[in-house]
Parts: sequence; structure tokens; C-alpha cells
Amino acid sequence: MDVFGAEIQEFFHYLRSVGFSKLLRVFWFFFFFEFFRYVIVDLISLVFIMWDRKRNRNNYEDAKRRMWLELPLVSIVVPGKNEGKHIYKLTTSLKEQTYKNFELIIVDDGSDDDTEIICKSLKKNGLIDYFIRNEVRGGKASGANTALRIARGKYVVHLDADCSYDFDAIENIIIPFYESPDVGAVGGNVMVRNYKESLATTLQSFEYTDAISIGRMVASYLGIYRVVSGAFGAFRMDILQRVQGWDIGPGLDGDITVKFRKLGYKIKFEDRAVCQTNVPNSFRKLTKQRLRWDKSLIRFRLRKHSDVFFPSQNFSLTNFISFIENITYTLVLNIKWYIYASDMIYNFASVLPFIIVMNFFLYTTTNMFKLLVFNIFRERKNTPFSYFVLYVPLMVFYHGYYLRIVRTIAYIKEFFFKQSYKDPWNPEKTSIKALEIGI
Amino acid sequence: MVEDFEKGQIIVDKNVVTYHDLKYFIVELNDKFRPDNLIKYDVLLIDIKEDELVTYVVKQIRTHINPRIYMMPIFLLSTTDFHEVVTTHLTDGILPSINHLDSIEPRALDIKANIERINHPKVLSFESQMINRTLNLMYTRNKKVLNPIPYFHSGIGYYYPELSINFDHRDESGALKILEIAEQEGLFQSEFHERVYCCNNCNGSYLNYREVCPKCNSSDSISQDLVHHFPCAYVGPIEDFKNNIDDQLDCPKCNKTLRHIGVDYDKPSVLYTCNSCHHRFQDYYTKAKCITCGTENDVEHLVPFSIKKYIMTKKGENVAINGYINIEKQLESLEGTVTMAIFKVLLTYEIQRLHTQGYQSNIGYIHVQHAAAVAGVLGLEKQKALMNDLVQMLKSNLNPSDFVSFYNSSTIVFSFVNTKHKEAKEAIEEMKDLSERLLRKSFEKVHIEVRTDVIALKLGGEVESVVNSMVFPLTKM
Repeated sequence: MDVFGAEIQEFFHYLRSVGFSKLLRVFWFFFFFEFFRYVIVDLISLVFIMWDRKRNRNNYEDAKRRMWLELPLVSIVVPGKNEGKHIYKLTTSLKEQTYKNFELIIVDDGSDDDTEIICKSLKKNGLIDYFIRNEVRGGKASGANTALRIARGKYVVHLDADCSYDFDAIENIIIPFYESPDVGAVGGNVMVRNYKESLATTLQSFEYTDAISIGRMVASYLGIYRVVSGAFGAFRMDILQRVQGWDIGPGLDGDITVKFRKLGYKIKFEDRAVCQTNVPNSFRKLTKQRLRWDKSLIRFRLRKHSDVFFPSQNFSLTNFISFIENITYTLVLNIKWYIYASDMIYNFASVLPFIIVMNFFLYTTTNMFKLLVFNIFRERKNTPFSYFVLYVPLMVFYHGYYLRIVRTIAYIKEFFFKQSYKDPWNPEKTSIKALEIGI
Repeated sequence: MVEDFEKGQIIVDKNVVTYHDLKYFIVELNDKFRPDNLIKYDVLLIDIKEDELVTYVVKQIRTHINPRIYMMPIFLLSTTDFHEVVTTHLTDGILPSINHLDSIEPRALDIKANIERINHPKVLSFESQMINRTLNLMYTRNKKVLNPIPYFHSGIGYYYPELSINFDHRDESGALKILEIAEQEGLFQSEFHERVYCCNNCNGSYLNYREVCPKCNSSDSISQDLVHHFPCAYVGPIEDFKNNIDDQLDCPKCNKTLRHIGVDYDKPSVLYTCNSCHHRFQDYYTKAKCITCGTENDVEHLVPFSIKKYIMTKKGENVAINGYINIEKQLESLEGTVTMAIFKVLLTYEIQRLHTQGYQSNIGYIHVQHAAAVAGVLGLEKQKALMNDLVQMLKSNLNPSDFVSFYNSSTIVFSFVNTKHKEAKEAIEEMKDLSERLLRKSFEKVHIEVRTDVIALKLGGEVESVVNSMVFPLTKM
């Protein structure tokens, strides 16, 4: 105990002795990038979001009234393979919706389990409006595009079969289209249902609450929101038809969002449209998922949509900023972190233990601050924030080390080896062809 | 054959031929055919070439109410076989000419002898009548097996000629219910032959099975193969890929040319579009449209009937001779009624009570007229419900000490104990009125009439004769 106390004393002595300028020198990565972007910018934006929301309350109510007056048909499309076991729960969740004028289209993408039997039975009982069975698997995009052939709605809501929805989720995700005619797509707020299942799910839940949910609120406010979640996203049918549906993934949700943005439409995040999903319950599964997600940054941002960076007839500043922000904070800073780590090892080798502890201290304090303060800005919570308090210190390792390493591996695999084209998430036949033509 | 003439032993007098001990009646075209008059003859000869008229005549005979007429031997005067299958089954043979009476005489005599053996108890219930008719016809023809014959004109696709002839086209499934009762009574044993599925509205089996649009039931739709282009995930019908310049298929999304199925595109599914409501779907609904009444049936809602072959048992043979009287076990179980045997015992006591000074007692009945026809329309269950309603109505208008019983399935008998005859008459008039109103209300589409009567009990009267004298008018109807 005495030894531990002495260590702490030594640590605080070090802090006092280095001074503020030295602190900035050592922890420049934290102060200049992460603290600025994820605390300062987020907090200011959140204050403005809430202020705007209050100011525009009448506009929102008016949009809501107009939506109910028009009562547009909404096509809910759910493509998937071997998702039969989730479909009944999904239909039950949709049956409870306040907004009833929707058609539910399920596309079975070559399932080899009981999905076909289950869905046909549900259709017979009126819980599904359309059920299309593709005998051979074509991938998520082709499944969604098949649904698009059938859909007649003014808006298309893309859902994942294993999700469930707040009773007013469909209503809330459609309202933003009536707030502005420029809104082309709206992303729903995805929350973690199984947050208590394992350490992996708890940490992801914290991530979804903080980085994803709050992050998307801020990005939407700043006009740089770039991924309408495939688990819960709404699109204007006319624009979907114009872009001729989804392209093959992985990362097709981010890809379609960019396609909408390129046409000049606004993409909104609606935190009040809540969907709950089960996240991977082990780090092995999570790693697999994140490798897939992170590869798509290279494939879609840097390759497929690289035209966003260059002046052209359709050049858009917000798209440019959106991409730059995305690339900077995920790719560049990821590389820079390794530079920072090398800098510390090379220049501050003697105080490295103190630096690590200090980093831990800074990030934990920041995370705790965000947990407490950002909680005020969340209208809908599915987890008590007190549940996460104990896990806050672990987020440093989760965000700072685990996700960073996974991201690095994904970037290398995709940048040098185009591994996303070998991902079994897509059928090989489609990936081969996509690789051939470079999309 | 208006002139009398003699030819050997055959004596022909107008349409009547007498040969040996048998009197034949010849039905010809343009005759004013009156089946009631056939009672005087032993054999019927039909000398008509038109199939439809032959069928009409045979039906008139075989559905006649009088057993001697409906069992009458019938032969067709014809040089060729008759093709109408049911009529062939319901007639007893073909006579090439009047000069060949010898050839049919043994059969006619045999049938006649069998008819003589048969007793005809008075039966009022529809089911009993039908069972008796069937057994009688089979017995008199020495027929042990009642085979279902596939018959185009039958409502259910199969026909039991001896029985089904009594039913209208739309009620033919009633024949199966009668046979079921007969089997339960041990008159027949059955062997499964076929299962038919009938319209759940009219029980008709003339159904058109069609694949229809799940939304509007139209069978007018077109199918399209959906093409999936691998590189860009475009999905659409093949028409989307056709260009106006050459025969190549070009993807409308990425402009690549489709070359090789399985390599750069495939056809994962088929989509149907309804030409009527434009609904798009992948799975047809199979519906069965009834040609008879037009009802669109879901195939799972069709009414299944087992078509069986029925073999007459010894008991059936016995019943064929002595008659089948359905004591209406089901009706006996109705609440508030006693069996006829108990009714008679109670009536005996009631007659004894007349010894008491000033004591008067009566019995009455309510009879639903044309019960057989009513049962044919209502079916057994509804008939039972009707009688139950009547019993409940009676019980509420009688004294608690009065007793009620079923004389048969259409006649309820009851007592008016310790009641003056005049009061009983008034009461029964009121009951008649109430009954008719109840029946009109419950069975709007069926014409039902009610008969009632009441008689005063007399000292020294025999119970049996009292009851019989009361219901005697009914037996003449």
C-alpha cells in the first residue's frame, strides 16, 4: 500500500513539475485532436442542437402535422439471410407502431434454414405484406434492391431483421422529411439491447451511446453525417430510384448515404427514432464486424468516392469536409497515433509509465465527463448511465487500444490487399465482379 | 298402340300389356305420365328414345312416395344400351322389343316377389324414409353393395343412384349423411373409396382450381424473371436490361453488358404481376372456384367428404324387409322430454286419475308438417335445434306436472293434466300460434306449417289406442 501511495505521489509530483506547456507537448494528441473534436466541438454542438430544437419546436410540430395529414405509404424493407428466427419479433415490434401506413417487405436472400417457412406463415397471417424468396444468395444489396422492385411507398425504411423498434420509431424517422424538402435520408438511433450480456456488449453499448449516437447528432447538425445505419434508415423513394438502389457492400449503408449526399440532399440523424439491436457478444465476433466496417472506409471513401476530394461540377464543400473529417479522425489520426507513440518512446522513454498513466487519467476523466454531461442531451435512454460508470476506465483500452489496433489491421488489409472483396459477408460471385470493375 | 290386338299370349290394351301373371305399363312419348296410376301395374316399360325424358320418367318413379311405385321394376324398350349411367343403374334391364317379354319376366317376377316380402311401417322422419328406400331398392334387386359411381352431373362428383336420386343437385351431400347414419345403425359396413373436396358454400364438387393473385383473386397475371447483376447489385426484370440497338443485355445501372449467367448475373427469383390490381407477388394462392355457385374457396376451407362403398349387413337386410324406424335417439335426449315408453306409462296413471270426481285430463300434439322435406333442407342438426326450441316453448306454457315426449322426429306429444278440455283447446291454439311465430323467426327461408290437436282422456281408454287415435290424422298426410 505504501509502495502504491508512493507511486501516486511521484505521479502528481511529475505533473506539477512538467508545467502546462510540457503537458501539451507530451499529450498533444489528446488535447489538439481528441479533446477538441470529441469534447469541445461535441458539447458546443449539442448546446446548439438543443437550442435549435427548442427554437424550431413549432416547425417540428408543423412537420409532424403535415406528415399525419398526408399519411404517406412507407415501405419497410428487410433483406437478409437466415433471419427467420428474428422476423416474428420484428413484426410484433412493427405491429405496435403508431404509424400504421406501411408495407413490410421481407426478402429472403437464399436462406438455408426455416426462414422461408416462417415468413410464408407470417405472410399468411397478415404480418408480412410481401415475402420474396431468392433461391440463390445475392448479397444484402441485391436483397434490398429486390425489395425496391416491389416497394410502392413514398419513403423506404431499411431495417435489420434482428432489431426491434420503439413504438413511435417509424413516425419519428419520417418526420424530418417534412421539416425540409432537401432531406434525402434519415438515420435512426441504434441502441444496444444486449448491453448486459458480456463485457464486449457493455463496452459497445457505451460506444453506441457516446460516439455513435451523440457523434451522429453532432455530425448531422454540422452537415457532415455520412452513414445512415442499415439497421434503421429511411430514404426518399424517388432518390433511391434515381441512384438505382444499393451497391454491393460491405459498407453499403455508408455508400448509399454518400450517393445521396453527392446529389445534394441533406442527411439527417433523428435521435428520437430509436431502434434496439443485439451487438456481437464476444471480442472475436466484434473484431470480425469492425474489420469489415473499417475496410469500407478505404474502399468507399478513398477509392469509390474519391471524386469528392477534387473540384468538379458536382463539388460540394460539405461533402468535402465530411470526407476530410472522416479520413482525418479515423485514418490520419490513426496513423498519427503511432507517430505519437513512437515520439513518446523515443523522446520520453524515461517517463513512459507516467505518460501511460496520465493518458489513462485524461481519457477516463474525459469519458466520465462526457457520460455525465452528454447524458443531459439524450432524450431517449435505454440504459441507466450509472451502469456504465464502473466501465468508464475500460473504455480507454477499448477505444484507445483495441479499436485502434483493429482499425489499423483493417486499413492495411484493405489498402494493400483489397481484402473487403474477399469478405464472405458478400457472395464471392458478386465480389469478384465488383473488384473487376473497381466498385 | 291405340288399337287392341292379340299376338300370341300378349294382350295389348292401349299402353297396358298383360303377359302371364304380370301387367306391364308402357310409357311412350307424349303420354300424360301419371306415376300415381302405376300402382295397378307390376312392371313399367319405357318406350322413349330421348335420354332426358327417360331419365325424367325414371326419377319420377324412383322418388315416388309410394313404396310399390318406387320399387317397381323398370325396363327400357330399346335395341341399344342406354348410356346415361344413373338411369341404367336405376332400371332393371333392356327389352329389345315387346315380343321378348320372356327375357325379362324372371327378373321382373323375382323383383315382384321381393317387393311382396317387404313391410312398410309408417315412417315420418326424413332419414328413416331415405334409409328404407335405399335398402328396399337394394333388397328387391338382390343387391348387397351400394357402390359410388363417378357421375358428372352429381353435386359431389359421386352418386349412389338408389339414394342420391332423392336429393336435389345442391343437396346431394345429404346422401352421405344418411349413409353415415345407416352405417352407425349397423345397416351397412363401409370401405373407403375416395375423398372429395366440396365447396364450403354449396357442397358442390365442380371446382376450378386456379392460381390467383393473393390480393384480388384474379388469375390474370404475368411472370417475370428477376435478374441480379453481380457487379452493381442491380435487380430488375429482363426487360430493364434490353436495349433498343442490339440484342445485348446492358445493365441500366452500371452500363455493363451481361454476358454469362452465373458469372456476371443470375435469376434468383420470379415475380408475378397481377394484370388486374398490379399487385406483385411471388407465391400464388391456390383457390377453388365453385362452378355451381361461384364461391371462391381457399383450398384449406373446402369441405372434405369420404366417399365409401357400402355393403349391406344382415341387420340391413332384415331392416330392408321389416322397415327402419328411427326412434330419434338424439331427440329423446332433449332436456324436458321423456321417452315415448315413459309417456305411455304416465298416461296410464293419468287415465286412472279420471276416477277422481271432476278430474279432467287431456293430451295434445304439435306436428311439424312436411318434416321430410324440411329435414332435407335444414339438415339433422337444425331439425334437432328446431324441435328443441319447440319443446322449450311448450314447457314454458305447460304446467310443471305435464309431460312431453316425441312421437317421432316431427311430432311432439304432451299432456294437459288436471285441465278442462276447453282450456286445453285454448292453450293449444295459443301454442300453435307461438310455434308458428317461433318457426317463422328461426327459419325464415323455409316454409313450415304446424298442426295441433288436443283430445280429452276418457276413463277405460287404452293408452295405445288413445295415442294412435290422436295421431291417426297425421298418418294420412
